[in-house]
Amino acid sequence: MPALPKELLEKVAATKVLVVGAGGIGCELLKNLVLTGFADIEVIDLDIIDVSNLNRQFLFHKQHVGKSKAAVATESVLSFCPTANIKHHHNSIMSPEFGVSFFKQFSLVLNALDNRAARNHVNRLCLAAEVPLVESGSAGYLGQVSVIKRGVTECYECTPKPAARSYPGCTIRNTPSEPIHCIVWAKHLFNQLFGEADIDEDVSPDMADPEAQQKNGQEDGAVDQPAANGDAPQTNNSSSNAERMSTRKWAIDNNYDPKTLFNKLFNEDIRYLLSMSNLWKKRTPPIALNYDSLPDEHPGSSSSSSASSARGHAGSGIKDQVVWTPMTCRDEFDHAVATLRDQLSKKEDGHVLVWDKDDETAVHFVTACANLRAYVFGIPLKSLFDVKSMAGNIIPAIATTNACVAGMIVMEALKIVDGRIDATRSVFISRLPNPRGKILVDQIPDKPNPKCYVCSEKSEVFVKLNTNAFTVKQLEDKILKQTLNMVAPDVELADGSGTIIISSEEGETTALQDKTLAELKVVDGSRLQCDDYMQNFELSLIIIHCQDFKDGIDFIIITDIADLKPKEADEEMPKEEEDVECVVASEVMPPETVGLKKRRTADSDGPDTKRARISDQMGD
Amino acid sequence: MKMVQTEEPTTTTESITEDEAALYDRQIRLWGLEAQNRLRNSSVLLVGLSGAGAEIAKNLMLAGLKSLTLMDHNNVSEGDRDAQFLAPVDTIGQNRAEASRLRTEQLNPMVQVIVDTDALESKDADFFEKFNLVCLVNQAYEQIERVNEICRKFNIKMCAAGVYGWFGYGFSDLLEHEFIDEVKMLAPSNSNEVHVLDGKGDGPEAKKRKVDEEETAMIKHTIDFSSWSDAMNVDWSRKGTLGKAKRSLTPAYFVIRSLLEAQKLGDNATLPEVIGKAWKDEVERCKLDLEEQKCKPEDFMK
Repeated sequence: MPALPKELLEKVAATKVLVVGAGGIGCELLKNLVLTGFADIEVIDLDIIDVSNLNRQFLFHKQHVGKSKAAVATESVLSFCPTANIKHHHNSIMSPEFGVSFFKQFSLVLNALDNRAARNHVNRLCLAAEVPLVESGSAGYLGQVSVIKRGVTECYECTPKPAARSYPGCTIRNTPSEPIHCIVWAKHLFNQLFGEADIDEDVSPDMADPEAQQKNGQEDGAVDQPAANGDAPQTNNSSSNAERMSTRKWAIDNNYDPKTLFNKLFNEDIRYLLSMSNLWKKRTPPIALNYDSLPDEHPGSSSSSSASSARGHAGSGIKDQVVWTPMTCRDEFDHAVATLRDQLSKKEDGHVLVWDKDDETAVHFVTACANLRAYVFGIPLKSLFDVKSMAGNIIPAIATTNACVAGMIVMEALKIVDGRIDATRSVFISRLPNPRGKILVDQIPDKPNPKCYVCSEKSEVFVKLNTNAFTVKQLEDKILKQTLNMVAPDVELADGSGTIIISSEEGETTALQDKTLAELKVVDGSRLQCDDYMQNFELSLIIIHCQDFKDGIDFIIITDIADLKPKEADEEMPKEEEDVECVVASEVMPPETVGLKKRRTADSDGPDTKRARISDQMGD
Repeated sequence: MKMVQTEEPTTTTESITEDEAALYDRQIRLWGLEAQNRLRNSSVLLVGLSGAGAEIAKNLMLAGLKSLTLMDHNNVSEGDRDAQFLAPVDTIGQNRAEASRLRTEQLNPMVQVIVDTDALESKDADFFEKFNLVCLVNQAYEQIERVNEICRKFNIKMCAAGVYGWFGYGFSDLLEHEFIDEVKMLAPSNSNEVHVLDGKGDGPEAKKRKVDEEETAMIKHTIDFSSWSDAMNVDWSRKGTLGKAKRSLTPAYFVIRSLLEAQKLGDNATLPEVIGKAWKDEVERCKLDLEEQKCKPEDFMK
């Protein structure tokens, strides 16, 4: 049976196509493309091959581990069709050289990405270059494909995606109740000790916890802040490098002695928390640990052997699925701290460690710390295998789903090549058949959202923040980059003065970055013209001053002014998770469901796999 | 009533090694270690190394079996270049299973690959007994029917699949299939107390406790699968049956039935007029409304 009608086959052969990503979907897609007759392909991927890719990225074999995905994928797929012309880039699609003119070379862009930042970026470039884009994602048994064409279908950013789940600072620092709280804390601790310390990632007891203070203020300030922040005086949330450096400095001053660190983290700080007695009126109080007398068995069990068999998965034969006892956690902590200290000392001045789920020591450190903290608070302990899933935001993946998704991408691509954009569909793979017996469910793509700040003519975004506290640097990092997904923003005050407050040129506005917005005359009602030259993207940011924010939230983005009126009170703080599970897995963007609350806080601690599965129900 | 075949308990079989745990990490996180162990102890027969067969072989190899037997008596043809990526381009004219061996092995060196160049019809019942799963790709209707009966007799699970241009089908006969579903539910105990405790309407607090009370229950389900002949020989001309079909059955079912019917005619099966006629006959036999069909007999004749 012939493959494609002759005219279509000719169009296919003449289409220059860009494949963004040579991972799970990318490998399958490249195979499908050359077999279908696409002969002019460029592929880009910044990643190198890891052993855990080999269960699905079938263009790679064991001997390729450590090599460039884009290069090896090209070499392998050429053996299926030696006449195809495939060019590869071992690079990030977000690098400046891949601007609008690069995208304009292609008649079609196919995404096979695994993260939202790159998806946003490619979306903007395809809109700017007016090149049709096929977007895709997969997570476990779920997958989806959609077509994005400027002015015809909705773009990737037409409906705000729910932000990754974040947790209130006081839950993390004072009153954890679930394993994930301890894991987030442990990752923060890693950064405080060895990585890039972030002011929002403090790990010491939080005195400002409103719950601790609410009654008569008797706890408040009654006890000196513990040594958590070293010698530095306790300061408010709004400060400052001095405080940020102090945890690190304290650890360095003590030469990262594991026992000293242990005592501070799991004993002194815990005793301090116990002194905030308001916190423990309704909760089980934590127990301060003694370095020298930790049990070598699991909490609540009589013998360690029965514990490990009860807690390991059924028939478990792999060591990472065995839950460590508190004593093992301490030993692992000692070992990891010593190793990380050495790694850090070998770095050049000013360079720090970056937490990585594939770095064994880093994962051991987080597993040990999270479990010790869990033990302190009477929370169930987790195996390294499970901690790695949650801390590393690992999305389970299989070849079969990716193969289906790649097939669906090519089906949509063929319609685009054939000039039948109206025939394109969004297609979802759901876990269970819908009432009509379908696992693959397709729908007509939505029209562009006329209020979308990315693809509509008028790009306006309102932001509510405290102009007296919010700094220019925070505006750049938290709002423009992390929330509005710009890469290299330039910002000008649109009051006729032409004052530039943020420049994408290195060093040009460094002097301004620690100033508050109010100091630069950015006040209630101010309009900022924000421009990302690389993305060919601009928007107006309108400032709404708001003095009071509650824990963990320091700004709110409003993309539709109509949202500002009715439920202002609710906007202040997203309630503890409503029953809606609205977390996006990084390889999949679940179809938008009704009732999702917009989340504004960005946090890298993403969804765990369990939640990724929930998007299941969104599939049909 | 036949015995339910419970998979061998993992104690009597080999468990995966640490190396395999690293290789299969992303899928163990999806289907669990026990499922991975079962895969590791499974022998699968795959008959028909067409393009679809190559896809199936790839996915089975990557999943991590004990062994995969590739069976095909046909040779690699020019047409295989459109989809059969396991047979290198310079193997045209060679046996298709043999030609696919090397690339199949490279997909996962931990899985044993066995090649069988016999025709499916030459294999008698005993041959199938050693497999845990039999997959038939693009095979003839009668052969699928015959092998399905054998598999049912020996309690072997079976799949069949076929691709015909833009159409295709997948069929599974997992016999009496038991599986366990994890269901999240609230534990009944203490839930009243929780509400009293949080009577002040302290939202976050109440929610958190509820989550803590949540339990995972394991619910066992059983599905009885239909045999190939039962699935293919429903009398759709009977009143009422068709109404049900319209709600839950893809229109492609009837197209596939007519394609399989046309295939019975052997070498003529790919002639457009043969397929067109078979489809027209199917429409009449099932009393379908030709106007409602997206696929017209003429479509095959172009």
